[in-house]
Amino acid sequence: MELRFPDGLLYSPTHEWVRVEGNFATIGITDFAQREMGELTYIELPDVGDHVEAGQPFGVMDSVKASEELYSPVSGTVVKVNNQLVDNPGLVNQDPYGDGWLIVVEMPSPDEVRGLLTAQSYVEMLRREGRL
Amino acid sequence: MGEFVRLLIDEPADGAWNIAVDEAILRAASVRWGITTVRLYMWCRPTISAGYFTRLDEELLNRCKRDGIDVVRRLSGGGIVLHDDEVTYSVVFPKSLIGECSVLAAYRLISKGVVIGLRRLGIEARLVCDGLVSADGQDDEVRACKESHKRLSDQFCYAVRSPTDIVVGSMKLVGSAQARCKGAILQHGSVPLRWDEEMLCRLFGNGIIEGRAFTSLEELLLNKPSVDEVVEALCIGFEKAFAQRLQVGMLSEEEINLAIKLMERKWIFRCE
Repeated sequence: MELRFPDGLLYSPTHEWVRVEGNFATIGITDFAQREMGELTYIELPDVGDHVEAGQPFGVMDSVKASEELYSPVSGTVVKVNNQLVDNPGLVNQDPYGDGWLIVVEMPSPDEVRGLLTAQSYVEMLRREGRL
Repeated sequence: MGEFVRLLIDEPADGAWNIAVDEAILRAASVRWGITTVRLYMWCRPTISAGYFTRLDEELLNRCKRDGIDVVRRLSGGGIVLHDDEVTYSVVFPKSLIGECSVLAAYRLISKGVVIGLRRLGIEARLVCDGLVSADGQDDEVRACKESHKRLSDQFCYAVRSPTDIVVGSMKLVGSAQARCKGAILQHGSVPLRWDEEMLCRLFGNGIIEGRAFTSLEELLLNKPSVDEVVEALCIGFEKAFAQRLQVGMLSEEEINLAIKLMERKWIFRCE
């Protein structure tokens, strides 16, 4: 199935996406990232109130015999966590940009997302790296 | 890939150091494009390593304490491994080494080296997910393994079938796990020279060996090979898989310092 990279979202080089609404950033992993990992079996996420730092790990996901760290594309405070993923991490595989969202972060300023990639530049990066 | 693959052959060490060194190499490689590293190592006493998400039950931990078996936590996925009479391999490589670096693609690359090495020893091994008809790996054998993995991820790794196992016939010989950070991937796995069935039963119960579907080099070759023979065969295997020569090297100062920092976090407990 063809991978999807919706316009209107921002993307990080470590394969997370961000949906910005004011000072709030909803974060998930891209369709490319979920396909690379295969069927997810566990996801560890931060708690509400935790601080996350741009470029630093904020969680870990696990598929069949592989774990991978999740990196926050922005800095800020975690205000929501997708608790549905505890029982059903496969939601990330099924709907990475919808029900498979991971966390919502309140950013000190929307400037936090400066430097993230558009869908087009993310796809170009994947092509340059020979991964698409 | 660089011009060569760095080779580290380490003396037997305790569990926390062994696991911390693998993670230190991965973390150092993940922040800068590094060379590929192949590390071969042993364990100075029996040790259980648990996967990142493995839940360890109290009874097993008590049995480990009773029997003087160390317990450590890996960064990688997968279940519970008993490291005893084995050679452990670890490979850290930049994701740029292969265009498609999905979990299964990375397993195929690294396991190729292990499989070639085993063939040098006279063992016809294969990676379960290799040679599948469908590109997404969704054949029946892999699907069955995934189901098994989901049910038994907190169990002894060798009692669970996975698409990433290296098998001989229907017997599991090599279990492996991966950890992935930014730009690099670590894969490590166990090549058991001999299983101590008594120890397995004491830890996991008698059921673990009844009709077991895992094996060792000694059982397959009817003679236990030496550590040196296995190390040499694996070196040849990785050299062929990467089409690069292996060059004996050492840990950098950065990797050593990082491993020292990580080591304390790796212990669940130690028995001395």
